[in-house]
Amino acid sequence: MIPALQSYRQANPAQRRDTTRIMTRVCWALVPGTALMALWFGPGVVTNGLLLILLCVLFEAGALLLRQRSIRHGLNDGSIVLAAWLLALCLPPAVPMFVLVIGAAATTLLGKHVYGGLGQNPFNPAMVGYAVLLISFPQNTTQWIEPQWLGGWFNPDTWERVWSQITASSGVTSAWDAVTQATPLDQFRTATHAASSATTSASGMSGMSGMSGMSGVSGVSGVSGVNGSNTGIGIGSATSIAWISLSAAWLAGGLYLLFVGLIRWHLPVAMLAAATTTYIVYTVWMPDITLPLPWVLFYGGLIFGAFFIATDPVTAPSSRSARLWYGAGIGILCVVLRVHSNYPEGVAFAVLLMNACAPLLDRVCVRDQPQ
Amino acid sequence: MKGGLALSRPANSTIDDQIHTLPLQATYYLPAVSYSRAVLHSQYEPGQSVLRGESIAQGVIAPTSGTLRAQVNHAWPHPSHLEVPTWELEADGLDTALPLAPLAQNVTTQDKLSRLTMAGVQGLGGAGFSTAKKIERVLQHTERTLIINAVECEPGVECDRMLMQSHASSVIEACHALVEWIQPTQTLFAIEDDKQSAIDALTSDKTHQQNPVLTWVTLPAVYPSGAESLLVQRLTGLHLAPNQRAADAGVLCVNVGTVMAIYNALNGNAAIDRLISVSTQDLMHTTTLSVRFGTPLNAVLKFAASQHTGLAEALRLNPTAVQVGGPLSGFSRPIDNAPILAGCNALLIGPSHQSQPPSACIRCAECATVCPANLLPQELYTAARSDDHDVLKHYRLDACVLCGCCDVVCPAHIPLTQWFRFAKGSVAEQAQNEADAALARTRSEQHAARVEQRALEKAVADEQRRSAAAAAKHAKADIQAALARVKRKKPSA
Ligand code: SF4
Ligand code: SF4
Repeated sequence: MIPALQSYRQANPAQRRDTTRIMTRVCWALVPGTALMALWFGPGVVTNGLLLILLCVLFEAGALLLRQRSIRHGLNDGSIVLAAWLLALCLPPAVPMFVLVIGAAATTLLGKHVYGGLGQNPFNPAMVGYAVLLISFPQNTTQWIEPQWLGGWFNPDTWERVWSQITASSGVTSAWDAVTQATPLDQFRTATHAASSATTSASGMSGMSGMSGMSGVSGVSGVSGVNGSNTGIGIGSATSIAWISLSAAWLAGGLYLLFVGLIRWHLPVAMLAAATTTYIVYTVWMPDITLPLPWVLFYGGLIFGAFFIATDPVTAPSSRSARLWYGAGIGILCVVLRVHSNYPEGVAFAVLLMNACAPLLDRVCVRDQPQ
Repeated sequence: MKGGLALSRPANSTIDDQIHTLPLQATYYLPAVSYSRAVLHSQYEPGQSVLRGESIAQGVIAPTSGTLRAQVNHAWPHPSHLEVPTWELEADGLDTALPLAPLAQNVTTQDKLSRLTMAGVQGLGGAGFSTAKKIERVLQHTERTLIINAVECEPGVECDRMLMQSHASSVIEACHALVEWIQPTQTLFAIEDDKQSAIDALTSDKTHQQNPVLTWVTLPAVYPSGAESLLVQRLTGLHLAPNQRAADAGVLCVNVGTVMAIYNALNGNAAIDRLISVSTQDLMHTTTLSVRFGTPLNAVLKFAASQHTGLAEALRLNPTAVQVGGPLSGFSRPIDNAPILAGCNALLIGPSHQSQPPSACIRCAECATVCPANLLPQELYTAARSDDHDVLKHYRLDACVLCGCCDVVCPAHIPLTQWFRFAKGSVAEQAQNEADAALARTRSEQHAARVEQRALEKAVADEQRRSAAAAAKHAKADIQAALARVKRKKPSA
């Protein structure tokens, strides 16, 4: 930096940007949603976050030490705290310690340092960590408890669970099982799969729903069976309200980021618009999908993903038109994965798939500029 | 223009509304190289005396009368911080001017152009292009556009505004003279909207009102609207190919200070000085000086400090380093006796903030958002680091105007512009090497061809000689045979 430029920036706070400040602000934008999540799902949300941040910082420091970089300088940018926080928000409350350790290792080492640290990684580190956990521990990563306003904070079971998480003693108690519940999207997926296997029995999709029966996620469908409903959760139920209010909080955080200019509108708008369009196409093609439209956007991680995950600057393309395509790609893949894959939510894999395309998009879209 | 930065001076900063002229110095330093470090040749000998306005070499004009000393390696105000061969001109204090008559109305274009060259008129934009060459190229076109560039949108650079404000009628006269000469289809006078005082001064001029040949184009004060390639593109819609200059497309874009220099040269005054804004680093005080080329930097700063207490204080706080150029486009150098040259429009003095250490690029693309040339600086940065010329070309390093906007917004504090300056140097060097190699190759091929040609010619000549000899031998043999026949016949006869 030219010294005089530095003086100029000092004199013009509006022009003063800084990586650490950006990361801190994104973290601030996560606060309302995280608080709301903790209120609905109990102290396990908070411990998840704190433990993951601690673990990731430790791994980061270790990696920096091994790579002979300045630990202070490396940790200072705050990017690892943000990644840990994002990963924590994807996980159900009070995930066992060993899962968190593996998630933190995957995020920090596999997601970031094997490529050379901040700015070099092609894949979103938090999503790398989440994908690893999703594949390795489907049961631990998809089992959500039934949301209860403030309930978790007064329930001895949750505290016991949190304690066992921290002490890393053995996992799920029977009392716990009773309160686990599928997210609205699990039900959406189950309903869709039932419908699609009924209508297109000859296609590969029926095989897929058969597979879902065998996979670890089956636990989830089992639970939805307990709920006794095949058509989704009532819009007025506590579960529905919890998930919708959470998405509203992410939306608020995202709008804050837009407002302060930390993200641009292209990517989230393209992603949400593409997801909506794809969903409409599916409702025409498969009328059995009964979840009404706005709720599809609000259930699950679509809004969270659009504002906080997909906008990760390192792994997104950088030209504006490329960002439009990239966002659209994530939106489409997200809904396609929701309908056809074994997982109820497709944001993580959609983001990772589009991460892989980002350099190509960047390369292609430079031609947009006048020569 | 896309991108750019709306930069403003700090609130309640002061600008000295007067032009102060530096007194005559004892010694001036005149680099014997061009901006691109090509060595300039001269027939002047050490010890020879020169007059003010005498052309010592291409683009090098004696700023006063005095004696030339031998060339020495001397500090040079260039980002490379190199020392270059430099003439020392010892002033005799008389400041006698070379008598140059004003050119008559009816002289030929060639005369005018050679006058510009002789008077050392060059662009005041840094690279020091010869104005005569530029005009010559434009005159080859029948459709011409003249753009007078009075857009200096970098805070802390006030010299154009000061010139227009305090010499409005001369500026208008100079513009009219240039229009008369160039005969453009249209003349655009580009100026930013925050220079209302200058606009008022110019538009209220009588000559202008009687003959309004100038079309005013007011642009919002967004840095770097004044960069030539961007301004031309914006005003004419012309997209210049890499390495193409506006002049090649019939567009003459000249800075308003250069217009004055052209006018002065045609009227018998060589280009020996320019206006320079001197400010404190925080831009709280600015004053404008008229400085002759070749004046040592430290003398300029000392004089500036004597004009303003704010500047004196700033110099006292940081007596070792100065920023040459504006806050964004300039570069830092030690305060020494490096000479002031045509490209220097501003100096910033005083303590500078500790620069923050750069961290990794997070690909936020803020740099791309502000880049006025619509480039992707983050990609250029990666390519510059690996010195990959193909990738640099793909991302159009050639279109980068080194404005520094990307630096300002980069949250990772990466000195992007510095990298691009370096990369441009590296690309230019490679091009030069390739050109040299190509030249050497052609020469060696020509040499080989000549050798071959000579060998061939020799072979042909040899052959001819051999056949001639053979023919002669043959003929001799024939004669002998005939004689023998005759001899043989004789006895029988
Ligand atoms: S502004 Fe800096 S950190 Fe952001 S993309 Fe450009 S170079 Fe990278
Ligand atoms: S890349 Fe070049 S033209 Fe673009 S903002 Fe940076 S210095 Fe200016």
